[in-house]
Amino acid sequence: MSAPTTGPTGGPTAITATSVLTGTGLHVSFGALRAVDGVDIEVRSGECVGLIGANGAGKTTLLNLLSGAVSADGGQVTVTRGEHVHRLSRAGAPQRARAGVARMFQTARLVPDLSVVENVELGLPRRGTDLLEAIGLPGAARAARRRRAAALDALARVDLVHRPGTRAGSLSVGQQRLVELARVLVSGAGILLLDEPFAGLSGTARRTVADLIGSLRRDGVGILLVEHDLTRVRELADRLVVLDAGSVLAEGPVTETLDDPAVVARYIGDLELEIDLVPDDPHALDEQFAAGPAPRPEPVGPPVLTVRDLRVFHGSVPVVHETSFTLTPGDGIGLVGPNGAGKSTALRGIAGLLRSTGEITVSGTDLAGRATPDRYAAGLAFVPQVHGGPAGLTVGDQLRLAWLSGGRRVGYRETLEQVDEVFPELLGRRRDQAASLSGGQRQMLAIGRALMASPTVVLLDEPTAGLAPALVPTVADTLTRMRDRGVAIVVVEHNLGLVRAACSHVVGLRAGRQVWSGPIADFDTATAHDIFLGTGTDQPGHDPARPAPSEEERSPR
Amino acid sequence: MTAPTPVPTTAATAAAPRGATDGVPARHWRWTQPAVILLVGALVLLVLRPGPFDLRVFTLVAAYAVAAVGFNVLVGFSGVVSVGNALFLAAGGYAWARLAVPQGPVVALLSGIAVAVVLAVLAGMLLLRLRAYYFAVGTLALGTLGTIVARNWTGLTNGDAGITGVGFLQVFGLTGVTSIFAAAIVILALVCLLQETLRTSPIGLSMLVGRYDPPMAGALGVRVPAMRIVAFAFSAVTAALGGALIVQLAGGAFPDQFTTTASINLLIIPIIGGRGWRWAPLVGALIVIALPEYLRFLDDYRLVVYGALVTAVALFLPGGAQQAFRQSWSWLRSRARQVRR
Repeated sequence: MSAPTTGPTGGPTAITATSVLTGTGLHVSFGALRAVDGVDIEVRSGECVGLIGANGAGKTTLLNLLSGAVSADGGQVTVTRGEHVHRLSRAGAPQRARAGVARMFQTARLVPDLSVVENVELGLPRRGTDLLEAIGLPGAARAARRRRAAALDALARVDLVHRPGTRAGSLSVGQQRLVELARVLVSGAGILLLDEPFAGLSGTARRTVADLIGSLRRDGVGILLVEHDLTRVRELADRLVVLDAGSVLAEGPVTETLDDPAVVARYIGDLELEIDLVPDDPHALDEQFAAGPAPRPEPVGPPVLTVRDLRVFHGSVPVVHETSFTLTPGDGIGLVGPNGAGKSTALRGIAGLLRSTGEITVSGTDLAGRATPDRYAAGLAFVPQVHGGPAGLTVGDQLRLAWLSGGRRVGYRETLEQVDEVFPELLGRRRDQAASLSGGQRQMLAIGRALMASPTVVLLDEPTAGLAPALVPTVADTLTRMRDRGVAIVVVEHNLGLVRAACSHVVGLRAGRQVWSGPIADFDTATAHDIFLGTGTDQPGHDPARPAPSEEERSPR
Repeated sequence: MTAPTPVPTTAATAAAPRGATDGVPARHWRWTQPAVILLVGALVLLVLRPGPFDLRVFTLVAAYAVAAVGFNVLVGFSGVVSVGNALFLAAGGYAWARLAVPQGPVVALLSGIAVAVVLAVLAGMLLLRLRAYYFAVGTLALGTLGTIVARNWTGLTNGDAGITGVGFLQVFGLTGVTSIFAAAIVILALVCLLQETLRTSPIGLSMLVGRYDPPMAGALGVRVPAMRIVAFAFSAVTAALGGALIVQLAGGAFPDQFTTTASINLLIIPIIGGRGWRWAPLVGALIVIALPEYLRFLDDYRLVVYGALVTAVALFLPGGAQQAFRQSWSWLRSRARQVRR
């Protein structure tokens, strides 16, 4: 370890003692949900344990149980530090922090009004003399100088020593993350729990954070790393624990565990690479698989949706970076990628529900900076993942309401006829309550409502979420029918079977970046593995950094 | 006690590519504020030589500022809102009234502080488990209880008739209100020094992070409830000191001095001043205590104008007077820069 960490405050010396964090039989329920259900986990000094799992698998909850932010319904937590064993099963978060368990939350959490160096000083271990210092007894100034020096040393390690006086709230997200790491450095924690430390960071900041995690590990800190980006996990972790529905699905060395077919199936969610569709008309779909993109009329006119260098923000955090694609009428783009890749965020950015920069053009209208209703008026429609629709209305009422609140570009009857052509079964049930529809029909209704505004582009967020697998072909058929009517679609979907059946192009996102794009015919199993599991390099896939315009050139049509 | 000298400035600025703005944070020299307060106090006494009415108003401002320093820490650092701090004013006031003449001023002040701190720690351990609003309601009950006890425990407080002939702090060979004013200024300088020391200490930082983000504070090893109790106890200390000064100025201790109105005044002072700002207690006390007195020329409209002013501050300066000071300061600086060009 380099000189800075032997801070005069005595904290960081603790790193030299080996620490082991052990959790046994941890479980906690929220209502009926058993969020963590009997998990045993161990993190030793100097190792980095990757913790992965699908959304809702209980990763963050497990971190909360270990850090004491949530108290467990049962199970033991102990920290062994050198010779000393801390039994922490009943201890609150402060006590665990004092035993050397540091926690970093998913978003950087600094005190925005304090300066950078003061935020780092907050990480220094509490001492018995703090209270005396608070009333200004002699030695306070010397202690203050020591603290300041230790904090500046830590800032030097994260390469922020030139900005100690900056208000923490004015730093970029990446810098805030680095300040947090400096805070961990001064704390002398032996165990570090990291919840998606790379979320929202730029490429260089990712590199710096990864290097720091690596160097902390070499210093003998035990690290538990929750991360969706499996490239990073492969790079950093020594060992992998895969959670599924609150319990451990698999654990072991990283590569072997990631090759486990059960893990692949769980982690990628509903990825069915061998498409397991039982379509109503098998030949139609077979034909599509065989021929790649379904035979389609020649490109109809100019592009209806152009997205160039799209960046979408959650607050000030960019979550999606430089994504570009173009659709002509009847095109279907599938946005695919692992959890947290920014797929839904990209859709929301296009729909104007989240702040975005970059170029978004619909049928020649520049939508940048426009509010959501304006975007809808320009021909965009968005079908969110949760689509309740107004309760207590009949199917017909819902469609009429959607027409009224839509652009009313086309007369009601005419619009209804158009929707009828796509979804005759829906119009047949116009007088029924929407609640009486089947799952697949409800999805049709949600899309039908979007179509009532006569859109040129429909954005769909996980149309098969919550549907029985048997309904997937119906949804695929629905999307295909829409495209046949000349409506372009952008669909975020976990079920790659659906993407293959209903889309002409695929854009692969990982960690907010476009890592692959190409026609559906080129989207094979190996490519899917690349996108989802981050095998190989940082930017796998056969054409990573290619901007959208060249995609058009490449497009077979 | 030595002032903390700002640290490796040379190294830090050497590495800074953009220079001044990113240097080590200006850590206030913690004697600056007490020195300014003492200086202004001396100027008021020696140069301004206020008349009896003005001097009384200034003394009351100083007394309330003393009491509000702790409240500034409580609201501004810890983010806890209490509406019962008149109880601690009363503890300090009645302790002074009962003990100052027979036992001497030091015993009177110290026992007032001791009673207030014990009450604050007990009440804090009981009430600070509650969430923000319920805590405020709980302290309201506490303050009301204090008033009731003051009115009815006649053996100790002599009820509504109050205790008169309580003496005053005699300093620098002064007499009467002048002496109380000088003592109030000295005490104010002292508690301001404590406030600044606390702010820059690990405890002060812990209070701040406990206010911004309790879960994060827990993960940093900060015991948020303990920090809140410390802040509550500190507010009790300064309230007891302020209470003793108020009693001396009034020439006696009466229940009416320690009603909920006094608690509300204590709450408003740091908020109007800009909570957490080190000058907030004094600036806030000037606005809340002195301003109504100097609006007396408006006769019947006095409270109307005062109410409108306070509402305007609340509406347009959510950061309190501090915001106004900051804004005019940066405006002046930018003007100065333009002039130089």
